[in-house]
Amino acid sequence: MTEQIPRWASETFWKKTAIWVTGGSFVLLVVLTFDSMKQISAGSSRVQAYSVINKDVSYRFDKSKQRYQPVIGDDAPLFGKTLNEEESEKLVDLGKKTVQAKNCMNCHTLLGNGAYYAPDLTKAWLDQGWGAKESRESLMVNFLLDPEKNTRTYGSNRKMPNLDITQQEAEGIVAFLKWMSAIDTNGFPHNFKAIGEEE
Amino acid sequence: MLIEPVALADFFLSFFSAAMIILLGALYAGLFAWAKITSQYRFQLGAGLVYLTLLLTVFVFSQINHFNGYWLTLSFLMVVGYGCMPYVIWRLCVATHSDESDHSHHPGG
Amino acid sequence: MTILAYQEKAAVCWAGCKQRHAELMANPFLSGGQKLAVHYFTVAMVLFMAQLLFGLLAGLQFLFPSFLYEILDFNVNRMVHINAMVVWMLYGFIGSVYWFLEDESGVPIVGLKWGQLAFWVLTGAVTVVVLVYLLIQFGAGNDTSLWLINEGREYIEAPRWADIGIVVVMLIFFYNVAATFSAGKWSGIAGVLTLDLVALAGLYTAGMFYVTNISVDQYWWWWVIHLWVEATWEVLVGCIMAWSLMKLLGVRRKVVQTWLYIEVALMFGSGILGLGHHYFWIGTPEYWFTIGGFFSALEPIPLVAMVVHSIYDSGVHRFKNSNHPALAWIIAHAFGNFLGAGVWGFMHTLPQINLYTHGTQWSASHGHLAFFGAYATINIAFFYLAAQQARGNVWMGGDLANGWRWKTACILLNLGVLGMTVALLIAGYEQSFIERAVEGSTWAGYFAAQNHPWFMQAMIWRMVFGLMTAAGGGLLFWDLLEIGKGEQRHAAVIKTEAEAAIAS
Repeated sequence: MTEQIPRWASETFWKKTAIWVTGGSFVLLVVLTFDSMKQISAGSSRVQAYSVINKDVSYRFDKSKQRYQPVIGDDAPLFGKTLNEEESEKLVDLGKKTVQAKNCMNCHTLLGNGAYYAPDLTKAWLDQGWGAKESRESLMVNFLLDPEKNTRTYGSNRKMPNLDITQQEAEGIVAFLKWMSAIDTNGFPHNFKAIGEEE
Repeated sequence: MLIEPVALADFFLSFFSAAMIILLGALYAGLFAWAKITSQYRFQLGAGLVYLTLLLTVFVFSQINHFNGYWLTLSFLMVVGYGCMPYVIWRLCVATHSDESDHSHHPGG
Repeated sequence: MTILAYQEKAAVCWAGCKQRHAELMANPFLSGGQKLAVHYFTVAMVLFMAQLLFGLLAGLQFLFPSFLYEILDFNVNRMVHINAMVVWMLYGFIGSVYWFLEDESGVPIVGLKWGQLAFWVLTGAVTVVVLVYLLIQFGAGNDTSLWLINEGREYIEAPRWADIGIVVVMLIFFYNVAATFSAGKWSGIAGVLTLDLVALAGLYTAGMFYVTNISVDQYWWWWVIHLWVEATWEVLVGCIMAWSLMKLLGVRRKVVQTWLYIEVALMFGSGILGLGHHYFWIGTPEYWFTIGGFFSALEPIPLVAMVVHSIYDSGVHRFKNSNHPALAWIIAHAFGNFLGAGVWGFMHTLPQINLYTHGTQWSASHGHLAFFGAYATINIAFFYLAAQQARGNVWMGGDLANGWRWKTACILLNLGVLGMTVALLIAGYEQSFIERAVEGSTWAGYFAAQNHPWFMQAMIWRMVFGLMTAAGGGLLFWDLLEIGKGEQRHAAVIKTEAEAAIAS
């Protein structure tokens, strides 16, 4: 009775198609993953080396690319200390681990992913809300150490809870945020005016 | 491949046209299949009209999203894909079920 | 009340649970695998209730930010809300597979004892994880916290020890499935299911390591989230549906399996590289615009295919159905999946607009309707099938005793979720407009959007519909515990292919 079903509608035909489509897509994904991993390793042009925290970071509209791009400027060591690559990585790593351990992602978004109860952290380092570049670092650390007292709710009454963050961890978070703000995110967020870029 | 983001004033149209593409695509497919089932000409006509609206919607969607170069291929594929898909799926339905009517005469499966 | 009174109440409750459990184990209508399945379904429903409860708490915090401040903060409630969802759906899937495993393979489950042990271990682990989430909440910024408390990565927050436990339990489950099919007979459904479970478990390990580089972190994180939800889960549901269609509507195996393969080709063909639409803004190269855009445009095609096929079937066949609640939920699945995944997905998926909608309530709107439509509905439908069988394959069609209960639950849940989705859509629209486009995503812009009347009102409406959803959920739980009890009429017997052949 199978002869009544044309080959292109038969079970075997679709079984083979399913296998080939799945296998093909997966192989393509693996190849693309290798390439993407190369392009987003720390120290590449898209994702800066951790020592970028020693530099001034900004975000400007790039006319040739028609989108906003991170801009790496002159020396601007974090907390007044120039760190080598290894030390920088250690500090950023502490920040990243703290961000995970404190479950930041279930209120905030990072690179736009997470929850929507608190602002996006992608360009938090560059936010004009910190007032001036000079006071930014200490403001950020103080905020993280005692968010309730240093709260800035912009009239929303939403306050960050105290998460028992230590001085060291707070400095790590700031380093992580500074490093993250230098990632080339293909122009996301759009139209963001970074601190120090006011006209 | 570079993109040109949707303009602020066009946000609503962007969302609306995207939603309409999927809804019209489904409505077209539904009418197409219904016309086959009932063999009624008016449903076929309806499906044709819905498809024309779909074409128009894809055009608007492509304009609003500033499609050019590669992205226009996407518009083309949507038009062709939504247009042919119901036909292909219908033929598959008929073909895969083709030995169903004489089911009881062929025991064992 | 005194502590003693609470103790008494707890003892009564415990005795009741034990009684119910003893009744289940003595149920003559269920096979060993089906009894195990009911275990999974029960915990799934409990977790569903937890999802609703913590969703309500998190929603309330949008309206009253000081509510439970520094007691149960938003991040804790939201984490339990989404984790409960992921886990209850997995429990539902595992239960469904155990439900039909013996029927499909033709032999009793090979490692039933192991399966039962795995169930209790997994349930114990889930309980510990949730208690740690609620009572300890967060730790210091070191590996110990990630191993013991919380990994801090949305959806897969479970600490590392639990990750390993989950993989072990999944391996036992996988062993049971593969070994049972090997001992009995393999089929197309069996093959797809087994390979899908390999992928499901394998993908989970992609989310089990720590990296400093957040772009790399999120790259692999999406492998788990997207390839679970938009690929392997869909195929798993496809397998469950394939078996149900054969068993409950008497559709022929050859037809069902051909369509399962077609579905796998369409789902994996569009879903695997559809992963690209999550790689627009996390630091990954620009070619993901091209790939993500292309496959996102393809992803709705299986849904359109479904429209044609369902009309074809309704025109050609005249199916009789004696489980109206299950049928209603399958219809809800068809519409919910189409709207949530198809329409809501495509509205904000292309990078030209996603630049503004990424990371706003848009995603929440899409997430609510898509998870509900694609997975919650189908699990609930299966719970009703299980309830029918457990009560002795009784009639659950028209003029069922207390039929108002399932109908009301179904209406409340569907309207509730749809209402929340629309409220969140309005909030997301406003957010993408004011915060993203006008204010350029600064913190001031973020709060300007959060304080906007549209947003505030949307949050109120979300709460109203959230309460409606919760009411529906509670009613559903009650109904599942009671439906069909005392019903004397039997369900119409559906002849499977082989039985029909013998009869002719």
